[in-house]
Amino acid sequence: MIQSLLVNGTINSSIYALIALGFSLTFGVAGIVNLYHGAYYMVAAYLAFTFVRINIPLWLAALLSLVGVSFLGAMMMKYPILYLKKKGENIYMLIFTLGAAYMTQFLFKLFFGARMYALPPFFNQSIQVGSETVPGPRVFAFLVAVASIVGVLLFINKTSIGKKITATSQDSYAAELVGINTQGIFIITSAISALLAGIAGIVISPYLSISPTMWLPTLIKAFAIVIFGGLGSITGSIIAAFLMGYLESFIALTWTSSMTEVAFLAVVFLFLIVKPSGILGKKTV
Amino acid sequence: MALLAVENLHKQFGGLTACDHVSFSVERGERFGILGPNGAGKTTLFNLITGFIRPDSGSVQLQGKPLTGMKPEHISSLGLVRTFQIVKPFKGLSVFENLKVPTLSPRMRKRLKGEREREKWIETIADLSDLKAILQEKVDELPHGYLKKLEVAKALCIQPEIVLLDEPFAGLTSSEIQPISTVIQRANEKNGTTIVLIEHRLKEFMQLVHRIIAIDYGQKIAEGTPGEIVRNPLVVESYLGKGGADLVGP
Amino acid sequence: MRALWKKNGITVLLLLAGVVFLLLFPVLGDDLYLLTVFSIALMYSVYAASWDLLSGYTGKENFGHAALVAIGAYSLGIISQSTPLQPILSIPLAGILSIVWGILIGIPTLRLKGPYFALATLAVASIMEKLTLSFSEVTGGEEGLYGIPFLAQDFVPSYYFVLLFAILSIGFLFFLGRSNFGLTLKSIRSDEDAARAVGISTTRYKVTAFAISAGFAGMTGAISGHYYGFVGFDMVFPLSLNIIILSVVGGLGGILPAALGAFFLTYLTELLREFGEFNQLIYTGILMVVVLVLPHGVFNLLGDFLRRGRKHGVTGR
Repeated sequence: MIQSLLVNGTINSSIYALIALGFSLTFGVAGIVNLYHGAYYMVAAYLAFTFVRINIPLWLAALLSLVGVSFLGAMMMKYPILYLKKKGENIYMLIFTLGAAYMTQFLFKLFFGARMYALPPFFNQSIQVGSETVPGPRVFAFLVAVASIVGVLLFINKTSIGKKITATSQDSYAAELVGINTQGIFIITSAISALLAGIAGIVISPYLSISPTMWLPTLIKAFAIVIFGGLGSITGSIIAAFLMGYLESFIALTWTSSMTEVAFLAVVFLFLIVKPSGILGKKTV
Repeated sequence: MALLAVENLHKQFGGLTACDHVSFSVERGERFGILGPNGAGKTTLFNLITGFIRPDSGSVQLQGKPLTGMKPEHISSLGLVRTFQIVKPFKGLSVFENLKVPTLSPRMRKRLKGEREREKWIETIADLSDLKAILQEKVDELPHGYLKKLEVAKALCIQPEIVLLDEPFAGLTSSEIQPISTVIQRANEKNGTTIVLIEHRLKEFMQLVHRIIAIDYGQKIAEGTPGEIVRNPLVVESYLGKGGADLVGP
Repeated sequence: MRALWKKNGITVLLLLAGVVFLLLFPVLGDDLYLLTVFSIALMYSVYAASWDLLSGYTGKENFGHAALVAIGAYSLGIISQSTPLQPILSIPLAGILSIVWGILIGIPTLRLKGPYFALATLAVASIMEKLTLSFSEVTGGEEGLYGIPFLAQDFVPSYYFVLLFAILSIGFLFFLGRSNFGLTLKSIRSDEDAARAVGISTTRYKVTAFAISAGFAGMTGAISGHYYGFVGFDMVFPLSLNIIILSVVGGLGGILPAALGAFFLTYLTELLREFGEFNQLIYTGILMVVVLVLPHGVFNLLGDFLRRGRKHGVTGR
């Protein structure tokens, strides 16, 4: 049982970390809580599904869908979000991004109906971990998630764009003064965030279903993990993702899987009250 | 007994000592100045005194009553009020409404019975701070000089024993400073409000205050009259390296 | 009152005309369909007005207003399974329970700023939503709970009951918003530290606003339970989003714009019913456009326009 908990917990956690990382990045760099984040995850899954349905090979479909969702991320930032940010109306930022996500849901429901779909597996070789047999799609999801997280962290720490992103996140005003195009950095960051959520949406699609409501629980979890880890702290988000992933698996194993979300939210709620700045967050709340 | 007594106030942020065992006291009716270079810990000192940040150790007393551990709203309701260096007007509201908010504090609810008295009091303060002509205007469109005045007027509206003013002249031109300086002087002389002032504009500052403490790196390095302070070698070294000529001039 | 009349004469007249129309409507015709639409629209107006008192005035965006409605509606529904509760008892009971709930949730969460508060309220509502589904033997799950006594035997008295409740509630909230209490809430929205610096106990004000907001949401929840004779999952939980849309489209921070927005948008939704699936899309589309183009809301803008028009009239421009 402990093996099963560790294996499932680790796989789920890596996906949560991937989604939360993007959410955290947009907040850390641009100071924006983007409630559309869960929708990127859904849009990528539906795009890939549509491409596969018109007989584009699976891998190419995934790639095209990721390009598409990154572009969407860039455009969301470039037009409505930066426009609202300039106006300085924070209340409308949350409402706009949440409303846009619902709109996407309704749009997809119209096009695809309420029924659930799945992508064919990218990799179908199950793997034995101790006494636990892990199906191929889950193994693949885990590996891609870890590789993407490492890739993004390397990108941020090693490349010159990455360094500009870090500089902007520390002080966007100062970054602007030294000649960094902060608007451009916001847009790139948003594209990366969308890309990460999109990767998550695609790799889970072979074993979880694609549906027009899949974005909301994902968004709530990402939001919760990011706040749990400390809004804007990347390390904190990753740690929090793993804590929550294991907690979920633990509850699913010992009690019932229908209560995982409730437990998850209850923990986050209690944590918000006791230590709103999160595990690693700065004390700004 | 001193009106405000600060004893051994200490605050550490990680490795940085923002306030290092600072003590001083302010007498009723005084205009008291706090001097120090940028980042010396002046604003932190205000935050510690007014309850926005909790000190690690030390105490603050107002008329012998300890304030340490109290919330900012309770401290201001006792008559110790601060202003903010970056003005914080209540946006979307008129000047009149901005001045009305302080009168809704428990302190002023006790002193002003009913809307009539409240309105009269607001007019008195608006008169004192030369804001009467623009009482009905929304604050969102006011020029910076007026917002600075409003920041002081809001604090005066709570009929304070003592006001801590955090750089009331910052960001203003010389011609904009005079009106505020006048308001501060009036509040002090007419209403007997004790003033504690942080300021960078040395000329105006030196003319306004009776007594000064100088801080650097969170520590108090000198105390005395403006005349004594400008001759203090420690102060000259820490602060006036650049601005010395400015100061000794007039 | 006099100041209100002087500055907003036309608006006041229009509102009075609207109220008179709603009062006379059942006498003028016997369109039962419209009567029902108006009743629902009026209940949504109270939801929006109660949301606005907290979120519009203090800037604390409640993303889980449905949780408060649920307290009122489900307490009525659950009790009615063993003892049928009459409105005269259930409405105050729902009010009290949701106020208590509002205070319990408000004290720990209202310390949180912007997105943190939004998440906390979203979490509470989601937890309640999941629990409602999981404990279906108590809550009726997706089916809901039946057997709640109706507001009245007939449509017309039911309508008048809802109308009276809506006028009184919105009126109360409106004048509360214009009072010193409302002014203090607005100062908190603008800058909480500045309000504390001038002696305002902001926590107490925020919790009070949340409690009042909760009270009206809960009472309206109970009334809608009586209106339909039924309390159900889909009747309550989608409200969290819908109430935000209704209020934002109407306009925040003035109670009436939010309430009017809710009334007319609900009416519009009914008109658009034949578009079926497109309905929700249009709904969110309107929200997006309003947020981007008229962030102060349709009815705030209209109020400003009428005020200015009058001023121009006086000066002869």
